Amino acid sequence: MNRFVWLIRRELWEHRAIWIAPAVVLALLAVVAVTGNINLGDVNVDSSQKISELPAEKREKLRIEIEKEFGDQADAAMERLEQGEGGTMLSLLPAEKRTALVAVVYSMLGVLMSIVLGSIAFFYALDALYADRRDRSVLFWKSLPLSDAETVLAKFATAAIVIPLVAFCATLLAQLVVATGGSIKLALAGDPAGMMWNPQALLAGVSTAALIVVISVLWYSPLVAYLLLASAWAPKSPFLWAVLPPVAGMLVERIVIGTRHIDSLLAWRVFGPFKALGGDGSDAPGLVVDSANLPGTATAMVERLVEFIASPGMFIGLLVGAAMVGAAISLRRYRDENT
Amino acid sequence: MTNLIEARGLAKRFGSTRALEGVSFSVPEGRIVGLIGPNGAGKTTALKAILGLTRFEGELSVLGQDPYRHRHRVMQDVCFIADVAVLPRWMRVRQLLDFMAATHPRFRREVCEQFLSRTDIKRDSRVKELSKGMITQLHLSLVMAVDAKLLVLDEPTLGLDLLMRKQFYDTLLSEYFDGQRTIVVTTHQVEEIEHILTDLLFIDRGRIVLDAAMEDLQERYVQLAVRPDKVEAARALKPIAERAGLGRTQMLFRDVPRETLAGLGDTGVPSVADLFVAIIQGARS
Repeated sequence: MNRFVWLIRRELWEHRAIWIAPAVVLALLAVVAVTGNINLGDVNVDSSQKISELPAEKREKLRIEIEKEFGDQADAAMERLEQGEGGTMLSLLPAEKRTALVAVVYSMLGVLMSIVLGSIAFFYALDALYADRRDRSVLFWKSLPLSDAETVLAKFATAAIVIPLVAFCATLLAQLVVATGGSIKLALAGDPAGMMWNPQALLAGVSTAALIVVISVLWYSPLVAYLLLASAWAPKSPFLWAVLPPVAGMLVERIVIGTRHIDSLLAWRVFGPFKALGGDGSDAPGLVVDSANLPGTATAMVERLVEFIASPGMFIGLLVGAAMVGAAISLRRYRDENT
Repeated sequence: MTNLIEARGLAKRFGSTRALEGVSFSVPEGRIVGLIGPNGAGKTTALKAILGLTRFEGELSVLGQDPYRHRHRVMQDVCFIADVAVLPRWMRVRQLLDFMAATHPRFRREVCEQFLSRTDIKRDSRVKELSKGMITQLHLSLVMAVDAKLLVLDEPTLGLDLLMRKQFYDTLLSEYFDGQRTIVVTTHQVEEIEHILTDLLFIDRGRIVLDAAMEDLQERYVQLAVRPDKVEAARALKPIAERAGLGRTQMLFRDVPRETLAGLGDTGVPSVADLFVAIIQGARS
């Protein structure tokens, strides 16, 4: 087992992007959290700017937006602002709306990190069993008493499990960064900074991040297996070997048979979880964030995803993925290395 | 004495070309065997089979195991240097040591550190930052620190200058070889290693054309610098090779008693390179 840990460590040594990329994103987030603006409708206001200091024209636009949000309380809110009570735009919103806003921001951090690390996992998996064949260092690795199964499984675990866990930790850090940056910004503007640390909002962010890990491992690991297989197979350019077959299949099916089964199969595997959240556009409605009932929204989200994931599709996917990992191991093992 | 490697009818085909045509040989423990042949003779294929890197027909056992089936087990006792270019270029020296120490049960880190301390290699350098000579030193240090039974070297000094090549074999012989370990080496620079070899395996066109211990060679093969007036008489004894040397004709004889030849000129020990040329040409004609 200890050897396996070292094999994974080796992968992180080689592919430093796995931790550098999220670190860069965190740094950027820190900048954005402190300097970022908040859009309210089509009025873009520096959220730390006091409304009483805005030019009259902009204030009028703002009043229209506030009316949309507050209805009959708009005048009261505007008056509060004019008098310099409460510093920023955010403080205008009712408490539950603010919490919902922050919760959505925290959840989006999870989505952001999973997109960043998802792309890294994509290129990592394509590279994993190809790069050392290209530079012939595979001969060094094969001169060590390590089985090809161990090697391939470590690479699979790195892409399918370790990278999602890195994304999870990076999301937690991102929340801290945004919460801290946001608090500083709010405090400077004379607003209550506590809203950034609302437990409900924080919990929503953490749950989203955790949910993404589960989806990654259970739903997307067969894609990792597919990419590793392409990486083990490709004589050159694993990217083309991975991408061309499905694209060619799609085109041939469309032109020759006139159906689009491969299209929908791929869309289902790649975008399925997102579709499940957003509604598939026909009968099931998309998920709406209900600011008055955040826990209810979160529960609905989890329910939809669990319903989508806990389907025969997941188990079939995992079985096919296991077969592809097996094939990648065989290729790694039985391929004649060019010396 | 036990045989570390046993090959019987070892064959390998690539499509219609046959890289190895059913060769049989054995490598006993404690020998330094030179596997020598022209380009495309099948040397590398044979080594790859021994290292479990390629499928083969026939029987082959390395340390009592089938190397193709049990590569990772065989590799506990076998070390291997292909050439200078195979160490992972992105890796730091320290990472290499850490990784070897953690994954190779026979790797002795302190021995490796000792070898490295005699070089200018810094632990924090990446392999790609090292010169070719340093990479060779590093690889050799890693391999020598493994307490292995068999060391396989496939053109280990390819692309190195004369000084580094000499250093490589000197270190190998003085620091590593202890009479019990076994080394199989292929190289084109035959003359540089002939003094360290105990056995020769000539291979050509997928066949073994010579399999002999160095001491037997000196018994069987005699180089003769023929006196001008004895050329015809010498030819009558059927030399396996003849070439016009400076002043005197050089002939190579197999299994002709030294005493018979002594009257025809000056006898000597043929170099491996001369033997190689004579035997390969003889085998082809």
